[in-house]
This record gives sequence, structure tokens and C-alpha cells, in this order.
Amino acid sequence: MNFKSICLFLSAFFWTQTSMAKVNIVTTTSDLQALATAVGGERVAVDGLIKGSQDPHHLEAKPSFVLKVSHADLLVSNGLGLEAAWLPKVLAGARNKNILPGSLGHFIAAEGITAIDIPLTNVSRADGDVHQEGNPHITLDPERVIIIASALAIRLSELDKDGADYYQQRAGVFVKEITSKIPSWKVRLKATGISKVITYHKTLNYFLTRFQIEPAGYLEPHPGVTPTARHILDTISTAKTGQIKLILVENFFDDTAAKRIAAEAGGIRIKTVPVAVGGEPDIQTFIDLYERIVQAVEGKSS
Amino acid sequence: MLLLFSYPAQAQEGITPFVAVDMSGAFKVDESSTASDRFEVREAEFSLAAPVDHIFDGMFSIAAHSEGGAHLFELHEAWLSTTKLVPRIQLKAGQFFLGIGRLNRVHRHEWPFISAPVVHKLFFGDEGVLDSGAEVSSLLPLPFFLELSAGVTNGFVYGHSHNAGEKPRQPTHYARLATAGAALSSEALVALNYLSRTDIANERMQLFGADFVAKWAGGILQAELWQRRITPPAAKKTAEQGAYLFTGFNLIGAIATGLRFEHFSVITLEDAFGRRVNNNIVALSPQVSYRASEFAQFRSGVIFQDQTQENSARKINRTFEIQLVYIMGAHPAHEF
Repeated sequence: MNFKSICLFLSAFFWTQTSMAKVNIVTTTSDLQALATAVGGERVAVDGLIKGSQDPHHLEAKPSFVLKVSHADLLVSNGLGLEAAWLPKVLAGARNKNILPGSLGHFIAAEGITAIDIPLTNVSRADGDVHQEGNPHITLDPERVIIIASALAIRLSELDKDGADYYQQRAGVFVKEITSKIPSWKVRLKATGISKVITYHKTLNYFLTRFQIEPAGYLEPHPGVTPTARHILDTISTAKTGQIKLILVENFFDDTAAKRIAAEAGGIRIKTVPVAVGGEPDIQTFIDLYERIVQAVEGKSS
Repeated sequence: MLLLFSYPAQAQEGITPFVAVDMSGAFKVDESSTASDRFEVREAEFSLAAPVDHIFDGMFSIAAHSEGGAHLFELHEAWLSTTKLVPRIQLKAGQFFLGIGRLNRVHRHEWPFISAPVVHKLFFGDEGVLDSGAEVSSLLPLPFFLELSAGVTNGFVYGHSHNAGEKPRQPTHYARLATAGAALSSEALVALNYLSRTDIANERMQLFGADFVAKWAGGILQAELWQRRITPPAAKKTAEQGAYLFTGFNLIGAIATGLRFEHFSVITLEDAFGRRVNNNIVALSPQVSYRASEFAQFRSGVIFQDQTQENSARKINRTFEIQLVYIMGAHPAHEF
């Protein structure tokens, strides 16, 4: 190892140490990354594990996840079982006791949120990958994101007491921005006349429910199960009888089944939509994300 | 036991019970094959994992293996671990699969292929090496991934043994240094391994190895390279080495395919005149799998194995393999 290599190594090491002067936040999803950045501002360094274009269900406890979480002062996770398959392994590998569940350094966004799609009866694997605690895709609802932002500001204030006012102020700005947009989204979505849609997975249910659009069916026969020929036929029937005009396909899923249903049922528009901040290069904020979904329902091209 | 099975996944007390059943069959394709021509439950494993208290986590698993047609449950793993006592350190004590290599650290039903490569069978057994002892591992406080693990176990026996063994002169001790990196949407982990044990007869066994795994969307590349040196007290040292390389990728929907290449050789094999004898086992194993979900999988493949040794008859072994794995209970962990 020559002198230059040593210098580079030490620079990288000390860069890491100095960056820890800020509250080092690691988030599981890109939505939570955007939220932590919005609330934390200059006082935090935020890194996310999942890209907005990735399906958050089917990931592994990658070494890069373990490394990031090992350096975190605060881990922001979604909860409701979204990360159940891999986050426990990441936590074990990270060996960072400050961010274990139940500690101040682990903020679970779904805590304090009322979930939807909670199964009324006990479910089993025969029902697919159903989350017993409810639908985990909470950040697709602007109203719930507001609640999470406020709760996150409180948690950051507890971790970094000197920044309490700063976090509250930034959370206030974030809440105001989102709140100001909701009425116009409601008006625009109502004007589309679309009252029912089919989606691939239950990802968009919070958004749809918030804006009085009924999720009339799913391309998956069961959550986490790829569309089968029989289910596609059933969904064609649902589309015809329910006079469905729009199928929204989350952009990390294949739209082949949607195309078949649209071709058979007729009069159906298919729109592929990002369902997370960062889901497409130009979706940088929650307002970008919700706006893009609204435009998709309106039929405007992105 | 019935009460345990009635627990729902992620049940009370944080207990996560699951059952993994691994059924497999190996069938002769040609007369020289050593396959058993039998389909059976190779292993049925029942596991429980849960926090024991505010500091420790516990893991307990029993497994029934097919041994001569009988399936008797035996203790597989029973260990206590914590990451809460010493910063950045995981401590583990009990009976466990030794934390070295790739396959030895992963339960067999989670392997990407049906049966063990030759080098793994000969150095670690059909499944893996487990023993009782303690292991410490640390993710070093660096801006890059560097994980150092070391362990010491009784070493009375080595591999899958049903006898008590004898106190070794030197217990089994091992170390592993792993690093990882990510590029684009892929990630890779590479590690160096060392293991040693000196038995009651003063025969020393040393294992030197490297393991590698890289994954990307729908694909995997996995390899291990091992060398074993055995130093008997009053005989020549022997050395053997072997490696395998496996690649797999999703074809379409739930269908995936894979191909494993492997090689094994006794480096120090000599004839009566002390001349080195060339010897090689080479195998190529294509496979295809259908994954209904992450909880049920069917796999089939063929092993084309060719064994050659200077001045000896060539041995060809063609075996058709099938495997059916299903998992009930808690959501299986998505390990890298």
C-alpha cells in the first residue's frame, strides 16, 4: 500500500467520522428517505436502502444494507411487515444496538398510523403474502405521510435536542406543502369520473381510498403471486361487469396481464405508475409522486 | 409439540417457528452411477427463534435426516447470541453450523442446488459441519464492509457424527474474513477461511478456503475453493483441493435455471515409486427449478461426473436428481 493509498483510506475513514456529527439516518424505503430529508434538512445525513423502482417485498439482507445500518444513529423503517423478510437479518448483521426495535434509534413509520386492508379473519399462506397487520404501503396516502412527518420530527427532536425547533419548523413546512395540494388533487381526480380501478398489487390502496376511488380488483390472484391464466379471465369478467376504465400497474411489475385484460375487455386504459419517491428519475418528492399518479388517472402522459 | 405447531407466524413472545421439509431423489442414468434410485425426505427441520430476554436471542432446531431409511429427530442447532453486550460484536454460544465458507453457513434447503459439490461432501459432509462451542464476529468500524469471525468448538468429532468422539489435542478453531461491494444493481461478497483441528491421534487437519457470491436481479454466481491438508504424526502430509462454480438465473416467471461446474483432485497422490499421479473429478450439473412462491420449490437436474486417475479406469457417473422443498410457519429470512 503506497502513501497515496493510505491517504485516500484515511480520508475516507475520517470523512465517515465527521459525517457522523450529523444525525446519521438510514431509511428502508426511498419514501422514508425523502421524508427524513425533508424533516431533517441540514442537521441529518440520510441514506436509503431500497430504491424507489424496487419492489420492497422481495429483497435480501445485502451486505451494503448491513454496512449502512451499522453506522446509523436512527433507522427509519416502514413497519406492518413490509421489511419482515430481510430487516431482522440486517439488524443482526449490523451489530448496532442503538437502532434495534424498541430503542430510540429505531423509528417505525406505521406506529401511530391506522392501517387499512386488515384481514377480518386469520389468513394463511393460501391467501398469498397477506400482511396480518394491514396494508403496509402507507406512504401512498398524503394524509398519513403528514402524520408520519410530524412523528418523525418529534423522534429527531429526542435524538438531537438542539435541533428540536429546526425539525418542527421543517416538518411544518412539509405538512403545509402537502396539505395545500390535497384539495386540488381531490377536485382533479373527481373530475376524471373514474371511480374504480384495477391495480397489480395492493400498493395504491391508500392513495385510491383517500381520493374515493375503489380498488376494484388486482392482477395478482393473491398478494405476491404472479397473475395466472384463470385469474386473468376472472379479472376480464370483473372489468367488463364493473365497467373498469383504468388499470394502474406499479412500475416494478410486468404489464403483460394488464394488456391482455385491456384487449379482451375493451375500453380500458393502462398506465404504469411509479409508487415511490425515486420510482422514476424525475420523481424527487412526495408532491412529484402524488402528482404523477393523479396525472395517470387523468390520462395525461408523463 | 402440538402447541408449538399451533403458533401462528410471528406469534406471542416474538417466537418465529417454521418447518422446512427437503425431499430429494437421486436416480441412476447409467449403470456406473452410485445414485440410490430413491426419492425420500432428506431432511425435515423444525426451528424456533426468539428473543430470550432483553440481551439474548435464542435459536433451536431439530431435524430428522434420512439415515438408512429411518428418520429420527436429532438436535441440529441450539444457540444463544447477542449483539448488545459489546458494540459491533456478535457473540454466539451453543451448537451451530460453523461460520465458515458459503454452504456451511446456509441450511441445505436454502442452497441454490440439490446436492453438495464433491469438495463440500469430502471436507464438510453431505450437509455441513456443526459442533458446540463459541463464535465471535465483528463488523469492523470502517467505511467499507469488513467482517471478521472466529470460533472455537469442542472438536471431539468433525462433521455429521453420531458418536461422542474423543477429546482432541487441539479443538476445532476457525476464522473467516469477509468483505463485500456493490455495483449497479449487483452485490458481491468474498471471504477467506481457515479451519484447523488436531485429533487425539495427533493428526492435524487444516482447511484453507475462499468463498464468493454475487447476486443481481434474477441471477446468482457462487463459488467456493478449498484445500485440505492432513498432517499425520508419522506419515507424509496429504493435500486435496476442490472448487465449484455455480451460476443461476431466472428464465421466465417462476422458472429458473442453473449450471454448476466442479473439480476435485488429490494433489499429493503418488504411486508406489513416489511419482505424482494425476487424478481429477470433474462434474457439470445443469438444473431447472420451478418456484411457486418463496415457500415451495421444485428442482431437477443431472450430474455428469467424470473421474480420471492415471493408470486407472475412467469412472463416469450420470445421476438424475429431483428435489421438493417447502416451508411452513414464519417467513423465511432472505439472507444474502
